[in-house]
Amino acid sequence: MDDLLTEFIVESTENISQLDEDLVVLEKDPHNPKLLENIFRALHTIKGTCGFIGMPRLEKVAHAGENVLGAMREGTLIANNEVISLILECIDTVKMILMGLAGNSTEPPGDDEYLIQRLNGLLSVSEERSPSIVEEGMELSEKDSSHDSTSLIDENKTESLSNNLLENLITDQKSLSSEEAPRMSTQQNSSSKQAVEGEKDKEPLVANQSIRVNVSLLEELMTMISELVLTRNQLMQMVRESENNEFAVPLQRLNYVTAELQETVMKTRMQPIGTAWTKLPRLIRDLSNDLRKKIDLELIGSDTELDRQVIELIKDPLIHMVRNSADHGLENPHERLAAGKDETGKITLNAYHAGGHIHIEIADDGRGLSLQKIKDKAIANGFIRADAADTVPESQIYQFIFKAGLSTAEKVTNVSGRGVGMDVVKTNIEKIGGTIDVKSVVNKGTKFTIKIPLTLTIVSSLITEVQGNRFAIPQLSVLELVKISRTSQSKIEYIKSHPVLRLRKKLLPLIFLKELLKLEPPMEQEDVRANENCYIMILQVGEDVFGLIVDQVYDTQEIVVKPVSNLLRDVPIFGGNTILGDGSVIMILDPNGIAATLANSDVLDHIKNDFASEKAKKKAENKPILLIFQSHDQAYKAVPLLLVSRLEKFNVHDIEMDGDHYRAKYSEDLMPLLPIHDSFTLPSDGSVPVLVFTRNGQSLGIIVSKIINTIEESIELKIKSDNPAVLGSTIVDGMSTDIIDTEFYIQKAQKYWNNSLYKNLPTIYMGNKDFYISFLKPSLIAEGYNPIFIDNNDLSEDTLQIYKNAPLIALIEEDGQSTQETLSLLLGQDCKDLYILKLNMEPSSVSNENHESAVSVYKYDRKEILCQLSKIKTILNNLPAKPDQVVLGVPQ
Amino acid sequence: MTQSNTDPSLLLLDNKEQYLTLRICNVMFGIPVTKVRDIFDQQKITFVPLAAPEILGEINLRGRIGTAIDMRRRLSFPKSKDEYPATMNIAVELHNELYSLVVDSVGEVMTLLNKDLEPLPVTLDQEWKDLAVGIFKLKNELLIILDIEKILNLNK
Repeated sequence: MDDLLTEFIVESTENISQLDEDLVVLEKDPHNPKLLENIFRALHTIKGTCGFIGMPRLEKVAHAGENVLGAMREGTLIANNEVISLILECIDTVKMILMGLAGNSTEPPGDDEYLIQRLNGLLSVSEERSPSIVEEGMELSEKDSSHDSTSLIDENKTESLSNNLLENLITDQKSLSSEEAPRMSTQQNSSSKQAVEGEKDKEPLVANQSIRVNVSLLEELMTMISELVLTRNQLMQMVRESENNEFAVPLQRLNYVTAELQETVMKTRMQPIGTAWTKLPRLIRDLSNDLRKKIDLELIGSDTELDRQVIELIKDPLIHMVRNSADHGLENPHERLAAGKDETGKITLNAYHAGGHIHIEIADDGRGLSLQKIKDKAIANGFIRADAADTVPESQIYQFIFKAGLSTAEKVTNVSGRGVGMDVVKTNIEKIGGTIDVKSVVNKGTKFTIKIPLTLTIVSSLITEVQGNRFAIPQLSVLELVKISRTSQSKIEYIKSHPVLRLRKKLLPLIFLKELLKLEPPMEQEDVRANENCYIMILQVGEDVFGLIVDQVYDTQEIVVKPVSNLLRDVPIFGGNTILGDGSVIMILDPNGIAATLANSDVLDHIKNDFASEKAKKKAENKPILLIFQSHDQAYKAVPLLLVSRLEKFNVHDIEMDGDHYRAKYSEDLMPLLPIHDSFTLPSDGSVPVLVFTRNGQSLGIIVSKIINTIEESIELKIKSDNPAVLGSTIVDGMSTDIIDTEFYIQKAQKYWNNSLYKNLPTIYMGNKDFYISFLKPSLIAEGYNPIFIDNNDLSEDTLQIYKNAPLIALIEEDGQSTQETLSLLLGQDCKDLYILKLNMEPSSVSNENHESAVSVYKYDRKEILCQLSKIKTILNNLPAKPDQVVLGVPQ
Repeated sequence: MTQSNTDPSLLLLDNKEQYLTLRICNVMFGIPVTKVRDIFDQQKITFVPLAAPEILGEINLRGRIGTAIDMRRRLSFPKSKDEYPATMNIAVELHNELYSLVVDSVGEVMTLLNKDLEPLPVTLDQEWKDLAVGIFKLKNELLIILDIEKILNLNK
């Protein structure tokens, strides 16, 4: 009984999977008697058998379906969209029951009365209407067109009013559908109509020549062949070592036979990729109904064979991708027409062998991937920085669609668009050593190319050695090899104690394999490690790229991966083991396992952290960003970037002369333009770069010759300058660079501005003088403050005497805690209105909390400093005026 | 499948059982011969890093890969790697996996009556008590019968 049931399930499942396909073809070609006959017979067989082994539920459903098909066969019912949908539903139910059967050997409980009723309903309709076909045709077509799915069949029925037209149409349709039939069918090799017919006739013959073999038997056979191959390799090696061996000739023969045998047995495991595609025609049909799109599916190379294990693994990713293409890739019919394309979208699957790999292409002729949308999403998800997005090459942008959480579909449909999927597809494909690539042209379509190995059992591997132990590593994950020696350009460098390699401007973390395998304790002595000659294998695991340092790299070998013993399963670094040609066992390193081990041991994190801390260190040094530009006399000049509002390019035709100076329209206003150097003359054509400074809503442009770049550099004025426009010179990037005094230019521009907001308010600053001169002073003066610099060393009662009894704003650097105390002390009780603004070194430590009278602001946040100052100013201004309280003083 | 017909048979006192004797550090041990698949001379063993200390490495046993177990280490004999005599590999199969017990030497196959199998003396080391099933008193010496399944379960 059990055997009988199993056989029934296997057979029925096979029949059913063929039905899906046939029905979709039938819908397009409702008058194909052969197809109808096939479908009818399949369902009939299921019905008959389940009556025989006693499965009432399945029998009822199959029976109802068979009745409808019977009516279609007799011509009383014509296959239209509605009928086919119902039959497909019936077949789905049969499948569901079969699954239940396979699971627990009994029919799953459930009620199919509704489905059966509807199926029977179809019959009664066809019986009632059969006397007047004309009437039925009209009514049905009216109903259907209101249903918005004008299929060819309905048109056909309407046309049945006119015999002539009908004939024309049927012939048209036949030629069309018979073209389609081979495309849909998995037997791709025949494209002509006759061939299809012939094939159908031949089928029973072929069936008799094949037998069912349990998969595990094939697996066993495969394992034994692998052993045979290995033994042969051993023998060959032995014979090769001894000259004039009498075994040479028979061994040659053995070699030949073994190779043949291996190939043949491999073939038994091979299946045409079409078996993974059988679900697709049905899927596309359902999708085109759901999405109201017209979709053609073209399957090319269905007979391309690959390992059934691989087929199982790519089945789901393929379905997902086709679904994606149909849902997102293809446009609506009206969109397509508007874009000047055929109304019917096309999805093409193409499979072929190339270079020991199987290539599978999934192409659609839809709208293509929107580069901008992906970019926006990638920025929103934090995969790339907004300012870097434009510099990322197109191909890399497309790769973002494989990241989790990124879907460019605007709305989530029940089909796809939830942003999960493509990442899973990629992981699945990478798991079997494959790669996936995407190309897209806007409005022309998108094409995914999957490259997968033919089989999983034989892997091409690199043999490496470390500390006298040999290991194999799958070649697919090795990106490249770098040889390190005393004379080589590449060197292993260290961040703290972590080795890194500079490879084409990228910094790669490195791992010593011997340390990873604990073949020798980690050495703290960096010199010892660095001096040795070694090889670095650059491995890629998912997103991570890292280098594995080994002593020696030998050749590549095709090896049969065998699972490791249970006792070694807990060592994730090994993905398997194998016997080499010389008979020795070798362990196969698993790059995924290595990466996972690294992730656990935090080596990668350490390296990342080290990078981060180096960066943080740089930040902590608090170097302001300088904008480097070239003056018209070719000299390099710099200005703190924070002082600059914008960088603009002005067309010379937009610049006009106004008396003694240039000006240009800038955001609804006229902005004075001052050349950085007197030698500037307005060129007759082109544009000039301009640094824009803004003060109190007034703008000033400084025309420069060329903007070079920005650089993080501390401002230490090496040489003071006599030039009033220049604060002094400093060394930037090894070059002497003038730092311009923006204040000079702003003063100069003042007369062109409508009204000067220059006001004096007492503000003293204590701290770094260079910072004051280059940054603080210009900012404050421009805002109408009159800052005074007091050197910390000069802080005494005498210097502060003049500020007593007056409101005072003191700007103090964060670390000047003592300064603040001294200041309070010196001013004592006399100063009622001391406002202290603390300038912090780090943006993170900014707090707007007002403890007592001190407010903290990030040192380089000009806006915030000014904002806080104006707050204080408001408080001051609201105080009753006391003339004696305003004390001014500007030190020279 | 071998395990199902040996273990219960130990309890049937009239039955006979064949044991392969082996020596480790001059102590005689026995294992049921039904569990032995093959006996090999010294073989090249591939060292496996990061594995348990009892695992000597992986070994090629007629085209199949087996895990070599250092029986000296497993039975907690003092470490004496350098003075290893010529070793023998006893290939055993358990749950479809091959193992090789690396011992000092292999003796003969003895047929012994189950009723002569005596329980382990209480004074025996706990480590050995966990790995052995009983003792045969032979004319000249004692034969300690090992439990293969427990030997190959390195977690305990």
